[in-house]
Amino acid sequence: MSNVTVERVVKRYGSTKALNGVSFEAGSGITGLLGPNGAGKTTLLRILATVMAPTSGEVAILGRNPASPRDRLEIRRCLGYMPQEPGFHRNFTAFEFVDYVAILKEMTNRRVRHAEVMRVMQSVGLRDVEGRKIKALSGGMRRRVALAQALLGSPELLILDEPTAGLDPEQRLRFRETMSHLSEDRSIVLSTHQTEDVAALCPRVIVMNHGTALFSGTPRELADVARGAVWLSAERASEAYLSYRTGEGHYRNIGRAPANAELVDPTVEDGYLMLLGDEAFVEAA
Amino acid sequence: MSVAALDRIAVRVPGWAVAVQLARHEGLRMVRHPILWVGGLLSLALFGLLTWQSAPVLHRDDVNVAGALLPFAAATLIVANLAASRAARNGTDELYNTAPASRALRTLSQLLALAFPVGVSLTVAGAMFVYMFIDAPVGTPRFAELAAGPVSVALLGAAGVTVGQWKPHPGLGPMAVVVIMAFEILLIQPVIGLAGTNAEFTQRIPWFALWIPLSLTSEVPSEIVIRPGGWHLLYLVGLAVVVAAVALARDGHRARLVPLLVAGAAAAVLGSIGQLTPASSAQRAALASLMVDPEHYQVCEVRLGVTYCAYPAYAPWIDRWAAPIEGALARIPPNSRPQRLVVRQRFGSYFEGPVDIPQSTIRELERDRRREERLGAWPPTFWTGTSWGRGETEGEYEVGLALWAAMEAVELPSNRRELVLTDAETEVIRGEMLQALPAKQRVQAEKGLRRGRSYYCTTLGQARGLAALWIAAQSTPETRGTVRRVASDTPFGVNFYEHEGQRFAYYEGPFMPLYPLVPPPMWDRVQFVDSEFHYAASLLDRPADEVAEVFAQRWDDVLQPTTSTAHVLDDLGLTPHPTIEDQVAALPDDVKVDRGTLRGGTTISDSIPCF
Repeated sequence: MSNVTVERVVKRYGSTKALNGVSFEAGSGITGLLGPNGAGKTTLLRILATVMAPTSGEVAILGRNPASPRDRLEIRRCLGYMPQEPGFHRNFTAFEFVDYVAILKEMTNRRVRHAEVMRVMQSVGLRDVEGRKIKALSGGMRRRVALAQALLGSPELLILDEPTAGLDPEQRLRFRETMSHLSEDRSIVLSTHQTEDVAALCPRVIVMNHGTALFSGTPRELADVARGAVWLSAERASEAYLSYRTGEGHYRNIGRAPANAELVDPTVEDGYLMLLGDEAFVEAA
Repeated sequence: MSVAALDRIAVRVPGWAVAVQLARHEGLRMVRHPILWVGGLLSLALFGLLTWQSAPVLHRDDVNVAGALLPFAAATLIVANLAASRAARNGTDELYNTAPASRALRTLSQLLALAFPVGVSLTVAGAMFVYMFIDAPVGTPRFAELAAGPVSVALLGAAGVTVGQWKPHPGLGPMAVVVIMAFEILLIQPVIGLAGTNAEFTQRIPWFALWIPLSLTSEVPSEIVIRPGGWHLLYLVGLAVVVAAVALARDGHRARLVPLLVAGAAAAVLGSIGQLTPASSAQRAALASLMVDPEHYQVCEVRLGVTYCAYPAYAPWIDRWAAPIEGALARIPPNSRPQRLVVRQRFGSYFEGPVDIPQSTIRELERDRRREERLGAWPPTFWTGTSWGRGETEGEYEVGLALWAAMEAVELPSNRRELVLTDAETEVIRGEMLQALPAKQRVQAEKGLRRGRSYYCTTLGQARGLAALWIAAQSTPETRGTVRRVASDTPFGVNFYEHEGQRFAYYEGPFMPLYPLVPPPMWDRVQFVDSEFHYAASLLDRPADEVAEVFAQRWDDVLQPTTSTAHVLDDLGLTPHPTIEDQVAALPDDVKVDRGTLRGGTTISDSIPCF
């Protein structure tokens, strides 16, 4: 059963189309949105988070219609949202901020609420800085505070807009660990620039560009987009869409492989680049 | 959807529970904000400034409590504004808008959170009351006057939330405070500008302000002002409700707010009408009667032959009045104690603020009182007002009362008529008494003698002046402290100062400053002098029984106007003050001495010696 259904969703800002007929479904587990800046990922996530309504198209979240005020309220009761730029009250401590959001999420029993705040702070590794003011936290710690508030109440649907931005490698690994636990019994829709995150976490990935969904499938399927188009060579291949020198000293090329090329297995990143690169080739032609 | 999620949806949390928790969170943040603390301290300081020199009168200081809370109310506006605009300023609106608690609920919680600063304002007001209660207050506080303070805190707090909701900018809170305070000052201006007038409606315009003082420039007894405190409270509550409704209207649900808005507006309008309605003629007549015929209302008590009369609310002050008088009478030989003294409370007749007494009554009273000053009252009466000192100033009030009793005992003039001299008295004064005066004063006094009267008479050089001052000075511990303090603060005789590297001599004196020791009723009668005052202060270092014994033994002699201070100094164990010449000779060599100093100063008075 899909927890999120998006059908032919269009969102306009004046004359600009931020989303242009996007459709997809997301069930349990993690769905990753990949795409360059301006692809429409954040707009889509804001629609899913009930921050804004689409200009046209249908959206169903947890079986409810966010256009209905009553349903919207019920959706919000089951939703955890981490905006791309969450904004913080700099003079709040990390605990106070998360606690404030917990009240907004209707957690009115103080003892229970504080225990829940402690739990989510623990889950993102912030227990030791919970009393520190947000203005004194690093950028990575602030992202984790934003993640912690989204986890409050173990929401049925988690919407995370670039949750790994600004995290160091260790924090990213911990984030993946947390997400993999959480994804066992809920839906998570996250956007990211990091193809490694998608490969590591998401059973389903959607690639967006220019307000449309270019691809929807598994990471393996995304990698397969570049199958037969990734090869190694001793010299930079001029016909490649992208060519770079690896740490082993040879060049990894993505594009239309020459006949005698030494093909290698593509990665998600290769598939993503191929997907966007193909479009670029078409545009150029 | 999971079972857990469905359960969560099934168990609805009531909106009010969320609002209460949010309000608690916001409220605790508000009361921890440094600006609110500064506001609270300013309020306490302002209350101290308004009351620290006055014995507490609860039906007057209740107005001061409300006024002193204005800085706190202003601080609440700023803090509430910062809280209300925080989400927009910090960019958390997007996140908060995805939570089940609506924006309207957040606004409601910010309004409910004002209960915290209001609670703190009650605590601050409580501290003010404790300060009053530690000094035996009189009167009864009025609920409406007191409640106006915390309600103003709620009103300005709601204004802060409203501004923050509609225009989220941190600078707008302080700007709103400036505008509201300017409006306040503008409105209460008539309290000064319409001094003493009875323009019925213009006098009521200040009631559109948050706080209306009894007077900004002088004391107006609250007994003779009809304050529509209840109506004003209704007006403030109505305004607070309207402002809160405007804040909530930002988030929609406007139709549901209409009843609230209408109720608030109705209360504000009703309160406005009530507070603008002038006092009825019956009310004004009752106040006039209270003022014109105090004896019909007052309670009187006789102690050691002295009658004390006070309005009922002030009856506990009779103890305060009696202490210095009894302390003074105790040092006067029993046979010479003045008889039938009366201390009676009354309201003043000149007000720098609106009162609800008909002008004709006030004019009539002033005429009566001028006549009374000229002729004197019988029995001898000390008119005391509706204020009394506190701390250091209590001693000043006590010296005034004790000095009055002492002056009656040593037979100094008690009214203007006694300053008119007969030919025989003039001749006596021209004799040895004038010769005892410094040359400069002798010339001036002769002018007064030629007219046969003076505005003042002076005790300069008279032993009875010294006796009166000492009797007053020693009457209570507070009077002793006050006289010692004033004596050390007011040097007299030849001193010098330095200017541009040069030192110049000057003469300080000879007259003792009227204020703070001589009370207004005696300002136009007797001028005491520095030299006797300092002798009296010196006598406080000697056992009072011994000094009283010396005066008692020579009492008849002391009473004579012709008995000089120098005549009794030896018996009192006092060393005469050095002459001006000796004082000048003791100055450092480089001090320049002018002729004015040698003549005993340049202060000129044509007062005649008291007779």
